[in-house]
Amino acid sequence: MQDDIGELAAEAKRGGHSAVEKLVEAAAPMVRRWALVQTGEAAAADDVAQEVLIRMVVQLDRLRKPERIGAWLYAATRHAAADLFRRRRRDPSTDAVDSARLVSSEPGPQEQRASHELRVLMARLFRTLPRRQREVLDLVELQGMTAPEAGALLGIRAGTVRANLFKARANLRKRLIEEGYGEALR
Amino acid sequence: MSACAERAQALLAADVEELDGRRASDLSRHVRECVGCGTFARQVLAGREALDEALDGTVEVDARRLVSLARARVRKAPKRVTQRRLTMPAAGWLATATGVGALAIAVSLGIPRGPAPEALVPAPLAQDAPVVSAERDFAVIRTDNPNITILLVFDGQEQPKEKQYD
Repeated sequence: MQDDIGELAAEAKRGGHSAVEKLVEAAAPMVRRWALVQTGEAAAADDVAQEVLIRMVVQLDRLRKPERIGAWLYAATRHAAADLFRRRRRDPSTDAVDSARLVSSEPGPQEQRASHELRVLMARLFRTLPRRQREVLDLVELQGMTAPEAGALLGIRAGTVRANLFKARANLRKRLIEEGYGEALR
Repeated sequence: MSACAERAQALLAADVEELDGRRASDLSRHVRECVGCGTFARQVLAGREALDEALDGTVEVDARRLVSLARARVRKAPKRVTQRRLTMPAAGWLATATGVGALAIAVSLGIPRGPAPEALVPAPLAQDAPVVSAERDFAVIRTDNPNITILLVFDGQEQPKEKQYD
């Protein structure tokens, strides 16, 4: 996925309005997911994703290595989420980055598989994890990246990724047990 | 402590392959055989899938409008002028200014303005070499200019003092 984005970014940088639009469409789901991992809120994630995608288009010409845009996008998403929380701390009424929301998400058809209650519960438990553990759990456990790949994206060592993954799994499962699951383990 | 409670720590950190019993390990075998741990493992896997779905979703993006918005932002943003910070110390600037000034003077002087003047050739200073004997305390040096004669007056053993009389 990241390789595809990199190729699209290189093509978009060479020129072509449609190539830029294709890049935006391809990057949007990835960025929006990362934004949700960072913020834990759907509306905030939409706003963060929109801001990041706009920044990407604005700065596309200045990217020296467009083929590595995945790492750039991840860092931009983290910064945009941090900016959003800073603004909220200063002014709690601040919510949307832009009133005209250009990125939005709807539950996909695959969401019918898991029960709504379990999704809500897992999302709530996930939000209680520290940010680093959320990032690692999403990239490695859910998206299937290797520890070195996730480490390269996050700018940390593979060993640190594994350590955080271990803690994230344990914390999440402990909370699941606290919620009444795992009768045999209590 | 039951066998299941002993395995709780391992189950908390186990990866997907161990939880679904595919791995050839003691924990995987236990998950396959123990009803309680097997149930918990399945709940964890279901929770994992639910979390993945909660994070995922069908993302709608109006790419055309978003690109237009980005381009408008670029147009509105003030042009970034690269400003290199001038860090040369004051003495450096003074030396540079002096050098530039000297160069300007040299260039202006070097520019030919009409025919060059004739070179001035100095005449030989003396016609006669002075003859100084131990008995005398002065020497007379005649020059090409009849109005100028140089008189060297000796003061004992000291170096001669030069005087000129018109």
